[in-house]
Amino acid sequence: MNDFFKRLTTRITIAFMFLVLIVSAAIYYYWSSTIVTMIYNGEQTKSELLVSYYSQIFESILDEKDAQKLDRLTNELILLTDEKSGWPLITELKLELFDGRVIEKRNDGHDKSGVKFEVETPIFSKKSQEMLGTLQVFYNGRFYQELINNTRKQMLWAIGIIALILLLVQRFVSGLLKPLRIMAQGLNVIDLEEYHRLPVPRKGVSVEIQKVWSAINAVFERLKQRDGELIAEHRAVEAALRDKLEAESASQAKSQFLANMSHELRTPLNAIIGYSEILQEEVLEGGHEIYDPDLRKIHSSGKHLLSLINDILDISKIEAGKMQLYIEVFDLYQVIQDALITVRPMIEKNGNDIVLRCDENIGLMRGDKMKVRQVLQNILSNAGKFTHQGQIEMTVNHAVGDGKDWFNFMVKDTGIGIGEEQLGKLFQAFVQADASTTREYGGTGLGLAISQGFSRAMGGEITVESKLGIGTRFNLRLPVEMEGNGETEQSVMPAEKIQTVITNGGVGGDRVSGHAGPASEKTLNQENESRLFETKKVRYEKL
Amino acid sequence: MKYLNNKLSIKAISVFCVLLLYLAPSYSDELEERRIKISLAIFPKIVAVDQDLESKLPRDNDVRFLFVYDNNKSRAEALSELLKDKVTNIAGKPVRVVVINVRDVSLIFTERSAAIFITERLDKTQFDKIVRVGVSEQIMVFSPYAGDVERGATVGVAIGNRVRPYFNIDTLNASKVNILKKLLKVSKRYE
Ligand SMILES: Nc1ncnc2c1ncn2[C@@H]1O[C@H](COP(=O)(O)OP(=O)(O)OP(=O)(O)O)[C@@H](O)[C@H]1O
Ligand SMILES: [Mg+2]
Repeated sequence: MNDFFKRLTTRITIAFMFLVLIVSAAIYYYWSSTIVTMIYNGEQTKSELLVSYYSQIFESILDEKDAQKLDRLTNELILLTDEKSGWPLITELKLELFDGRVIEKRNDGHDKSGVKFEVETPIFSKKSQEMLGTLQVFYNGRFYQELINNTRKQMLWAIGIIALILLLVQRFVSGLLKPLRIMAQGLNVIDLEEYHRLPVPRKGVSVEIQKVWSAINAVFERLKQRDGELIAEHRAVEAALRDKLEAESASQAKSQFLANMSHELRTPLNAIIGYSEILQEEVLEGGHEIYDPDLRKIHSSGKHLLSLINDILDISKIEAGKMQLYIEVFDLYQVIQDALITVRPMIEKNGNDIVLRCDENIGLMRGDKMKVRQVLQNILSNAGKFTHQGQIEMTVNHAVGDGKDWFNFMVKDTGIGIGEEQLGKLFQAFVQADASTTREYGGTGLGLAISQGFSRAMGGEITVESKLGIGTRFNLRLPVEMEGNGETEQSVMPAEKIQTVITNGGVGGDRVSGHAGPASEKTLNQENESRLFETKKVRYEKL
Repeated sequence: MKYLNNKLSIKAISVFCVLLLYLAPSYSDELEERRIKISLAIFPKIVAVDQDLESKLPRDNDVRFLFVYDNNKSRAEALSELLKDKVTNIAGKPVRVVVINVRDVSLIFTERSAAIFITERLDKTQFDKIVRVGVSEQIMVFSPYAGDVERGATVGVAIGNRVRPYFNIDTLNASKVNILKKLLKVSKRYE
């Protein structure tokens, strides 16, 4: 109902109704105030003119005292008729003379109007100037009534016609709005899936509305187009996602396969290494020194192969998301020393100096001790491998950041450096700075990928800065206290069960026994600690 | 040239205006003349309905009318002739017309008169004086001039669809002129 009065059509209708009312009122007012009085005055004038004319005749007759003439004249007067309608002009006349004569005549058979125009005039004697009496005449009011009726009829017709015209105009204006209604209905039932066009506008529709119409259709067209684009885009994204998922699952399968393979490979390899050691001893004891170099080669190749397999196993586990941590609390300084001892031969082989800046009491760390050592060994061995006759510096300190305690390790060398292009790809598996690196320095390009994987697993991060030809700096930061759960602590990585012996210099790999088990580690430490401090090439600086 | 034309046209217009000024009064004079003639016809009839006419007759029983003028005596005389031509008697009594200057009309009449007829437009003092005379003499003052009834003349004419006597009721009552009620009823009244 509220909506009803807000409708444009309703408002227009009301406006037109008002217009009809006002026009009708104006016409009625004009009719009643002007036309009716005009007609009345006209009739009055006619009656007065008639009476003055006849009073003259009466005056001339009355002096003659001719009764017959008087009778004839009154008859004539009362019989006067309007030729058109046949109605008498005078319905009643009364000639009243002071000598006592009264002549009264009526002819009101047709007059039902009740309206009378009464005129009374004195009659004078022409001879004596004396007043003889009065003539009273009633002029037929039916003429007046008829005129009033006619004009009223005309007025009503005029009002009717004007109302009709306004009604037509109103219809027309509402008709102009009809396309809008059709459009609204069309828009209501539009199925956005299908993008129906609006119904084609009828022929008579105005240009303005046609424009709106086609503009809406154009919007639909654009929406349709946009939808098409969106759908295409969506499909492309979907396809890309599917491809990615497929690739990921393929890569996971590959990693799984590699992990399985590595494990299967290690069993026979361990046998080869173990027996080559036994053979070596037996050969020496038996005095067949001639076979010793060959056996050494078998042994060291086996060791190298094992370390490669271990690397592959590590990277596979990282990529397959199956890496496990063995969390314990340990003395960090001890671990740093262990790493240094391991990489020392390689550093020395290339004629490098090494400096360690680290507080002996740097403190305890909670994390995977073996993985920390492996990461440090990797970084240090890289430094040694890619630096000749240079300086390698390792600085370790304790810092607070991001609401946590951290150990910061910085390994700086004056080696060949890494090109800017390669820096970004450094931590990807199998990536080496240069294809020629493989030829010149050997290695598989797994070291940093594994190190980064371990560091991140422990909540840390490795970053690198380098300038080609000037040197490289690796920054490693690890949390002092790694967050972890009991489950991780219980698990022991299969690789850690493997007994390894330190060897310096393999076929090309820079790393030395990153996978030494706890048992062999102890012997290594005991064996080498004294030697480490004897070495002139390793300098220790107290922080 | 144009200036000259303008001058000429101005001249023409002013000549036309002067002509109009000259002609206009003559046109209204003509209307007035007709009015006066109609009045002359009605005047005796109205005097005839004065119920006390008998007492207003002098010893010789003539019905005496005073035709009052201010400047134009000859016109007053012409009008009196016109009346006398048409009306010889009123109710059988002979009619006599006295043409008199307004200044000569005194408040006390030596001879009785039946009515006064004003033949000229009078200024206010003269007109009022005549009205006063009418009241004191208890006779009607008839003026054919439009507007005079309103300013005090006892009777005049009202010309509309028909010609009717036009009475100033106040003056009529003041002058105690007894008019036939029947006529008063069908006449126009100024009250
Ligand atoms: N200190 C360094 N100076 C110069 N280049 C380096 C340094 N450390 C790493 N690189 C570059 O980064 C590459 C990747 O190192 P990463 O340790 O992962 O592999 P690798 O040493 O070549 O082989 P792997 O360690 O498996 O035996 C190296 O091949 C080398 O090009
Ligand atoms: Mg390496």
